[in-house]
Amino acid sequence: MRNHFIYGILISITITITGCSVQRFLPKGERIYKGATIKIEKRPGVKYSSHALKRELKLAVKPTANKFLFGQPYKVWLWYVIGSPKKTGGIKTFFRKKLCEPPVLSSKVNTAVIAKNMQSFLENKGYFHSQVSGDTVNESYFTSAIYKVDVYPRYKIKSVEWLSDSSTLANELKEKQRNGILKAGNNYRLSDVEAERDRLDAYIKTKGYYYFNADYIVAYVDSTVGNNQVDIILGLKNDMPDKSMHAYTINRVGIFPDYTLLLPQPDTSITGATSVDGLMIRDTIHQFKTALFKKMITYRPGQIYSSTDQNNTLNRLINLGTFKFVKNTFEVAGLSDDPYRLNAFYYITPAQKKSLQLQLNGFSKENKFLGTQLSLNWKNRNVFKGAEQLAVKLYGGFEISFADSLQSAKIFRVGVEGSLNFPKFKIPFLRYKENMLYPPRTRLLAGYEIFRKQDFYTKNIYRLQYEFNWKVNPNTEHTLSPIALTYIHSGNLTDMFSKQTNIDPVLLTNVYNEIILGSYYSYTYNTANPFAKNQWYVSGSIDMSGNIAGLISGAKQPRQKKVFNTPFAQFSKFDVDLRYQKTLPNKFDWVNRVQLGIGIPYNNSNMLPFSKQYVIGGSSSLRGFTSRQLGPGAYQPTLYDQRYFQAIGGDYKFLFNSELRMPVFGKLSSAVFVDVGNIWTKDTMLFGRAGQLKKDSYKELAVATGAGLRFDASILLIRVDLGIPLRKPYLPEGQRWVIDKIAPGDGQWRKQNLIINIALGYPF
Amino acid sequence: MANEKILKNADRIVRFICLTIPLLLIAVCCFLSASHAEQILSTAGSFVRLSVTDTIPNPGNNSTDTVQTDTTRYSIAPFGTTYTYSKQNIVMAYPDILLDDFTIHDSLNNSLVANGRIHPGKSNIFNLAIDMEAKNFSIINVSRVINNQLYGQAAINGNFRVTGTLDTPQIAGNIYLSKQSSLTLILPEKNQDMNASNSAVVFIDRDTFNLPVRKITLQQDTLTLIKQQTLRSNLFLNVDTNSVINIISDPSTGDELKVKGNAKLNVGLDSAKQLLLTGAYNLTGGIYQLNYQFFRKQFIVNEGSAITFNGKPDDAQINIRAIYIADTPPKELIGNEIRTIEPQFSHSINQPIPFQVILYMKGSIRQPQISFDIQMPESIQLNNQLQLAVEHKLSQLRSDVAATNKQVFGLLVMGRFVGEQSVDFFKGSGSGFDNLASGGSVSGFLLSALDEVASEVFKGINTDLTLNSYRDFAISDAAQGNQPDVDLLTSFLNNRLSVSVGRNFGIERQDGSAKAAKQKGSRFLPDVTLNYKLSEDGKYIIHSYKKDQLESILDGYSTESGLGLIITRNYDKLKQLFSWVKNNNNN
Repeated sequence: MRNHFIYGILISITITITGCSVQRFLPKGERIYKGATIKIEKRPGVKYSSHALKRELKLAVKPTANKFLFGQPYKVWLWYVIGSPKKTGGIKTFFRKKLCEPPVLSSKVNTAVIAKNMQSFLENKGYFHSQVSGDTVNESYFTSAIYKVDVYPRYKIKSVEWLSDSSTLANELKEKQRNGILKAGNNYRLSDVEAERDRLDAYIKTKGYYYFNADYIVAYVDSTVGNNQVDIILGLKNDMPDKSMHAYTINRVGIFPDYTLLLPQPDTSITGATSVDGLMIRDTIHQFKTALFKKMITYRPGQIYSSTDQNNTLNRLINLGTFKFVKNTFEVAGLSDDPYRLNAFYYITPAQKKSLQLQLNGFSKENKFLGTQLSLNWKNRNVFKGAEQLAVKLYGGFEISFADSLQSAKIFRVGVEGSLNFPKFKIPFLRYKENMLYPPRTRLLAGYEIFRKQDFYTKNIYRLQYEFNWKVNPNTEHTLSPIALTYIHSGNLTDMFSKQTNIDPVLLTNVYNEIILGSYYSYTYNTANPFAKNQWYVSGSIDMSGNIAGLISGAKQPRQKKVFNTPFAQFSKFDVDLRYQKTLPNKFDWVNRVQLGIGIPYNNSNMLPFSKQYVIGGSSSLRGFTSRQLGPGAYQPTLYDQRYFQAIGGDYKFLFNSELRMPVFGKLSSAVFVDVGNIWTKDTMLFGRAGQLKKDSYKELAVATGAGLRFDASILLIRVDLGIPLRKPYLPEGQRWVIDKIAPGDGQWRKQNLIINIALGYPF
Repeated sequence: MANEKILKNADRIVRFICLTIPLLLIAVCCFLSASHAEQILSTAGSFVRLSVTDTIPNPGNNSTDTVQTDTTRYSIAPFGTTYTYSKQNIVMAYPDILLDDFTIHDSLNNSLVANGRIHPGKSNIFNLAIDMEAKNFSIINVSRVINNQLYGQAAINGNFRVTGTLDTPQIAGNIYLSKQSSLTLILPEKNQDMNASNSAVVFIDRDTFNLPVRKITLQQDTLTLIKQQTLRSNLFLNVDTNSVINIISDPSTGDELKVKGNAKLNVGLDSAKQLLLTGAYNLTGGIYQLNYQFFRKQFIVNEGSAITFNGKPDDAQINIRAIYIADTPPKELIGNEIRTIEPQFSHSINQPIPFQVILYMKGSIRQPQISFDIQMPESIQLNNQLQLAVEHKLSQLRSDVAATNKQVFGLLVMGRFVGEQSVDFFKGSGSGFDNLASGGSVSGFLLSALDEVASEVFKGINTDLTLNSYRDFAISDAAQGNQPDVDLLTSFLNNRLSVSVGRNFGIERQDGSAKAAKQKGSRFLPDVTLNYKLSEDGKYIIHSYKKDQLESILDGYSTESGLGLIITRNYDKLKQLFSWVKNNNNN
């Protein structure tokens, strides 16, 4: 933008000095179009603001004028000066494309049509009788358009009725319309009529009317009833084709699970097909069990056609992940005794069954570690002929940190993981029928990892998980994991670390052997429509461990009772993550997040296992503090803590972020933000009283603010956020606010308080 | 008295020759109605000046006298032509008036020469018998200006005879549009908003409007026969391949039909002085120029296309077949429906073939219906199996208008096929891609296709709410004359980028709503993965990801974001996996 501005000025100066203007390049009789002015005159009773109306009418103005700077269309001038390139792809083409604009000539301007468009725009919004006139004004070699808009008051809906019509279709539509979008008392709007038609169309397509189309509904609008009101009479168009008038029943469902274009096309009469539960399946290579299709296809011959069935079935088939392409057609069966029957066909091209994948990732973590991981993944997409996926993953990687306290804390990990994924609820001894939009998933997972923290210790981690995942509709998701076992066995302590634990036995918490007998449930919701002005995302989860084991064993003291000779963790943990984004004018976005976490270790545990603890600070959290630098509570972690503890974590967390995102130009955008939050512990064991959650812990909230720049390279967003702490909870009470101490000129202050967060992706 | 009468009639005659005849020719050559031309004539009367050099002697029985005109220059402003006649003689051979080489010159000194006799009848009726000869006589010379419906240059050659009376002349003969003629006709701009509201809403007054009673009607053949109107003249307009006629079929974008051809059109007037044309304009070539935003594509008009006149010029029926060549490999077209790409055609499936996108324009010239077909050139020989597959697919497309439209959209906008996606088969609200060609122009088609692409994004989201709010967005946009952003929407069709949101389902999928979410910048969702295919087949993928909740066990609640490279090989049998390794080594 800035560069454009500068070169614009230069060109304008050149034009002015040399006195050679665009004029001499123009074709005979042509002028440069300079844009349009809209003048609005409101009749009494018009409530809408002229400003808003003008903004909306502006969108109807065509063509878009060239860019002007100091009265010069400098981009057009360049366009002529550079001249038309002789070959495409040359440097001229490049400059013409990047820097220039072809002239928008006066002959392209048709004010009559634009005025008419504006008038119909007003009519579509209910401002009947409004008048728009358009004219052009010439000045030197420029032409401008002037539109005069005479706005009359807006019409409201007086009544909504239906044409008398005895057909079942009309009656069903009438019934559904009763509590619809069009209501007496509302403003008349064409968009409402359209939306109502679409709503009725979507509804009636679930009632067998396969060939129906929103366009068959017409609204007769009588605007002569007076008092700035209209009567709306809805009806079906007379020229609507007969086949759209009828509800269709499914006659046959034909499935070709090994369809390919390379072979002669199968005939739709499906000779040689197996009939299973009313479905005709013609599988020549028997790659899939018929039960799979029985489960995936949510309707059967004899049922009334419904678009819900059609879409659910298709979506289920697609989301199995084992098919490359699914093509679905419906055809009239053409029966003489019942003409209103449909045949459905599924032409399915399976994907190749197995895949081998090599993956190399580089990543940065909130906890100050940078890492890389190499993994080899093998997958079979159809293990037991029912679209079950078996995956095996071998991985290895390391993570390093440049933080002083973590210099010798390099992490190496090597692991293996196997998972089996069923496209259904796989529960022993239980049969479950469902017809959700997505097939539910059952996942069995087993994993083993060797984790080495250089200079400290090694851990062996064993995992076992049994998990269900389902989506009833596209914007909600449930995960239930009745069994989530983790067994951690530590060993290979370095001499240095052993010695340190002798001095400071609390460090032994890092190398406790532990078993987490977990169960887990989470629910997420997000606004389905990405174009909605207000977007919500809500996620809540409950995570429990050792509650039954604790009950049976009667554990009372931390690490008192054991399973497989290892103390088990006992806790309940509740999380809420709430996000809200509001789209503001001019492409501004206001984005907010609240995170609330409550972990309650009890009986057999006095703290959450490190892996379940809450942490705070860092580029996606509280951006005025780096991670490991803040909390819990009023405690200030020492370099010693940061070095020796796996995480500076707590059992409770509160975090609130609010951010205003603003476009700068092109792919660059900026943001200003405020972050508030902290973590607290339940016990005093690790960080003493200061870290503990108390009644007045709200006094220990940390506050930070700052600004950032983001560059969106399409596949990747690179973000630099500069955070400044405003409130440091670890300072003595009464001195925690540090706003008055901000001193950008002071090198010492800058060193301690300017936190640069470089990260990939948005913070939330 | 007699003097005055003759003077007055001489004035009428000169005006007839100098104005009426050129105007009639203009009407004929640019398909205006003649009555429209006469309106111009009636207002044009004031700029014809005629003066007589000498006093006219008394008419005698056998006397011949000559009236000579002044030098007069005049112009017919709407058509940009300027004519002069200078010292032309009108011979009075009582009772007849004779024209002997009465010549009008246009601005380039080309002439229209009249020879003949005018015989006065009863009262003010004058019978005409005039032969006229035009030599490259200019009749239209208009540059493109605001709100003009017609521009260009046209001149005519030929001989024709004018008979009848001064008030109701009849013309017979042959006129030829000259070689340099190039005319552009702008069809009236279609008002999108008006059309949109017309289909959903009808404004009525119940006092005067009877609400229709719905009756079930069977589909009828809507072909209406055009009545043959009687022609009152025997004039033929000849157009040959040297003249170019442009028809701007979509003034909002400038879509242009530029045709060349041969025609011998019979011209006449009906009782209401409406111009009538009959005959066929057989096209030998030309182009359909598509201008949409920054797209410039040319369809070449095939020989055999024609514009058929059968009465009023407005009712002309066009039947045009034009071809656009899209050089693209067939892989995108059929790749999805083939499980594995066999080695024997793995090469040719990636080779570009000059596919023909055929544009058909049919129906009234004012509102043509357009449709498309995609064909493989006959000269191309492929691997048998591959050829069969492509032909199967193209014939499938032929029976599915929506699918054809979508592929045409892909070929025009992106220069390649848009691989049919499984999600195309979701049933949404509205008519979808099968009802696009209503705009009457290829740009209109593209505009609605883009709209449809935008809504496709939401297919598969099955809630009423979503569809409605999307439609709201689309309608308000369209109503305000905003064209969808081509860049934004084509990127939806870009199969290389896929996004998945939410926790891992263990499947790779293309999620339309997720893509839209990305585009709209509502990326505040956690656990987002973006995949970009480096190679078309997805063997090499770059992905960027953000994970809020780690599966790893030791780090607590910590966000990880990263970038990675993925190399994937799909196979059915182990053999195939190793053959790939081997191939790679050989390379």
